[in-house]
Amino acid sequence: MTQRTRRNPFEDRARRRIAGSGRPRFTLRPMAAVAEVQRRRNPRAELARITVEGPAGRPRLVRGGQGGSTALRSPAQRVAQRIRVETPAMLVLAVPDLAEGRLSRFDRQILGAARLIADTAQGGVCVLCPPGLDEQAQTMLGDAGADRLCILPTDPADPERFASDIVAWVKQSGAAHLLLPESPDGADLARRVVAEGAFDFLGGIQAFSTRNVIAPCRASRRERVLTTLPIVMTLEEDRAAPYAGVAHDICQVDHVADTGAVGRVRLGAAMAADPASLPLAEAPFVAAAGNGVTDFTAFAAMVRALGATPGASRVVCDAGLMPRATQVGASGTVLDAVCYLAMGISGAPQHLQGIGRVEHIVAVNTDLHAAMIGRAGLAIIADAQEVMPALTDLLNQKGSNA
Amino acid sequence: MKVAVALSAGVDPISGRAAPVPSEIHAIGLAHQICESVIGVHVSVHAGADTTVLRDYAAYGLNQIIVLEGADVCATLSAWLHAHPDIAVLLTGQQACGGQDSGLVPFLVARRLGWAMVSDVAQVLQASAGDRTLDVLQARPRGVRRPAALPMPCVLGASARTGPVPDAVYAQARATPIVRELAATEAGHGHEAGGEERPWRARPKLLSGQPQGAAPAGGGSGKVLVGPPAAQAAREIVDYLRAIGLDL
Ligand SMILES: Cc1cc2nc3c(=O)[nH]c(=O)nc-3n(C[C@H](O)[C@H](O)[C@H](O)COP(=O)(O)OP(=O)(O)OC[C@H]3O[C@@H](n4cnc5c(N)ncnc54)[C@H](O)[C@@H]3O)c2cc1C
Repeated sequence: MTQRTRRNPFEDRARRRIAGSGRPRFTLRPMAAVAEVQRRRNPRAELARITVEGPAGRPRLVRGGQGGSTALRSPAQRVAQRIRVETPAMLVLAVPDLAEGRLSRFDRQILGAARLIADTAQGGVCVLCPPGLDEQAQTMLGDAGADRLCILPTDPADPERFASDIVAWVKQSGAAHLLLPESPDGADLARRVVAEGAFDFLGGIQAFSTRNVIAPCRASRRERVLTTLPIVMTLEEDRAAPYAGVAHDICQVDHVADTGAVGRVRLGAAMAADPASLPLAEAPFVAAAGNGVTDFTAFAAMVRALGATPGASRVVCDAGLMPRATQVGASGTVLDAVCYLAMGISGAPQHLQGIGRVEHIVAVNTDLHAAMIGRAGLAIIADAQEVMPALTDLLNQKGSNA
Repeated sequence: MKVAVALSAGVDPISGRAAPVPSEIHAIGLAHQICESVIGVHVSVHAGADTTVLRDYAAYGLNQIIVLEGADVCATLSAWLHAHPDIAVLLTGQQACGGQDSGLVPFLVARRLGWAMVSDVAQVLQASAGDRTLDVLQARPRGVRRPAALPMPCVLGASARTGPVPDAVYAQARATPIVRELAATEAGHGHEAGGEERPWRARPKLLSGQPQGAAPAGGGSGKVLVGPPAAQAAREIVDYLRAIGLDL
């Protein structure tokens, strides 16, 4: 705070304005400046006031009056700070896949979209989930933006029953919207719900905002735009941002009573396929050989020991060392794998296109500066011909031990 | 036992010309897995539908194609199935390609008829006419298959990703009779998609598909080992693969 006399240019300008309607007019007559004594802003103090330590120990700024007070908080208080929506004005339901009880990236995006809709009208997000969620999973849902939980007494092997439980809850809770992921299970469930409840529906949404939703139609050559959000929506992956704000608190947990009804469809336990004969596009784990591999017997043995699906770069396929069906890349197959093991592959752009969606990459290459090394989570700078037999031996030895 | 395959007037997404929908070809393949006599059913919403696509479908082995004329696909199809109680299974694609493409039709038809429904079917394991049950395998991402059992009559949605593709025989395409039938009309379902339709614009995904786990995001570098002994390299690789959850 200083005692300096300062001019306020806005005020000066307002005083120069000639009263009257129409275009604003100003007088250019010299005027005595009005001296004012004003407090100056102290940006550092303001910043300190709204800084709160986030869950990961990173400072974050909380605007809108919920931020920290001037006094420093104890760590316990800091942890306890969560948004509570006790009486929501409206409800948005979300049905994440929760595969293996985990909230996937896609699930978080669905919750993020639901949060976005709810926040436009002081609403709450209610997550529909199967029973058996522990405390930790509930906190995780709160972090992702959920305010309420509704536990459905549903057996995951009974999709018809699950759908009718959801329809019943949508009607009972008077929710405004129901969001699901356009994943295999989510897409199926959403359409069952729509058929049973005769709700408005837009599936496979590719542009999501609270003002409109857009999905392709007519062979993806045209698009449908809805400016009033339908009741049931499914979103494609990576079309909405996950919720990144202050975590919410789960304020209410509802349990739907078990009616004992049983659907006609029974689903069994999922079975993984034989990796060796799997189509490359569907394989979860691919081990590929590039121009740096000369010993293909060792490569085949390693692939078998790893239980991977074999792949190859174009150079190898062109040379006839591997079948064309194994080619990975722009002119081969685009992978949907979780993990990719690249043996002696330089990582040409055309090849990298084929592994754009792969999460984990391991590269073995003699060149430290190969593009594949830059893309890899684990890179080994070594001769592939030596690493491959060592890997085979290690796995076979472990297999016989176990 | 008779099965019917619902055919749609497909459009190729790239060229915009009439073309069969891949998942409906898989549906024909599944129909062959269930039984030998397969009827294709095509509901033409606009009179005078393009029959060249129907000939393309016929090439995959259809005994007969019936073209139903009606204003509402679901209503017409379910009315026709009502009138043909000998049909035990209706096979459909996953999603049309050239219409509303919502993927709702099989679910709505199943709902109307009170039939069971399984989507994303990759293979029919067993169809027993005696106790009228079907065992099928559902396609799941990454080659995973999930068995499903359901009673007949039922609707099966074929998977778009994988499925049996029968041989396309040109002579068969020419031989299959295409019959027009006037379908008994039922009231529509009221499932009209509202909103505005406009030319497609590709939109980038909000987030890159880059991982947020052990692998570096956006091309940053992960762990690099320069010139380790082969045994150590092998151990590191195995540890890494185990850490990301692979079952070795
Ligand atoms: C239109 C077009 C489409 C294409 N489409 C594809 C495609 O779909 N898929 C594809 O793969 N390619 C494609 N290519 C080819 C691509 O550009 C590259 O030429 C190709 O990917 C290179 O393959 P590579 O990495 O196996 O071989 P190289 O580029 O020769 O790389 C070999 C790598 O192995 C390393 N190395 C050498 N010896 C050893 C050793 N003993 N141990 C370990 N590492 C060793 C080297 O350091 C080098 O990094 C396409 C090209 C064009 C023009």
